[in-house]
Amino acid sequence: MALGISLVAIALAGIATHRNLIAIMLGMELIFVASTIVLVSFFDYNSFASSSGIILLFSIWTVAAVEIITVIALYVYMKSRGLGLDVSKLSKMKW
Amino acid sequence: MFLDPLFIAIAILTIGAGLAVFLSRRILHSVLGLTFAFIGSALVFLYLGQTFVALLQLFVFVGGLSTYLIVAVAGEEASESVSVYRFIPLLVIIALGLSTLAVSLGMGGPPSGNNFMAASSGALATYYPVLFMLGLLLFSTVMGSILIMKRFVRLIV
Repeated sequence: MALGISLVAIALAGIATHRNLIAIMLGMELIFVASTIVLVSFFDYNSFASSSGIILLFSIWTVAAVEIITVIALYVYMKSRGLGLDVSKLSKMKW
Repeated sequence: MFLDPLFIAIAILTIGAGLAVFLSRRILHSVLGLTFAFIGSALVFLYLGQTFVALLQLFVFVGGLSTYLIVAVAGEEASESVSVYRFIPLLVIIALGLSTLAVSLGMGGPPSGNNFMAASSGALATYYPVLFMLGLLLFSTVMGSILIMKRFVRLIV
């Protein structure tokens, strides 16, 4: 549990201090890793664990996988268009 | 209360990998850091006795998504990258170290409390609509990603 919380703290600090879009999304990915660690460790040491934990785990994994696919598509697209990855310079939601 | 040295080693690996994501200058190194964070979390699951969850984490995230991420980022950075041959000894050492850690975890980890998969055996039949929605979410994301890539291909051809 402490490991998961440490990872969340590292990821939050990184997201707050970086302006690179990819670094921010990798930080969110770290938060997903931390949440799976917390979920499984909580399940392991909890005597009244619910059977729906696996669904929660699959949900976290799916959202993490979706985020990685989005990161790759955005990274390739922005590099190909010559757009910088600095989020402070992005002002439009649609190019 | 004394912590297991094995767990301390895994925690150092995972937290170090998490720090490497933000402290490295190149995106490729950040992605490699994230890959090691995935490996560290799989080792944590193995340490807790949740073998099936650890295997899923390794297959899906390390074997699938991290490889996809590394290939995409390395392909973009190919023009400015250096020779990969100098990293081979380092990768061999890391692979041997991780394998030793995984084998020692498999041989003598602490007794597991609840078995995640055994307790969740009925959940897959009960919550199948949720799984269906998750599959639909993945499918639509992949389709959206393909559309973005197609636009990119049209730009460069």
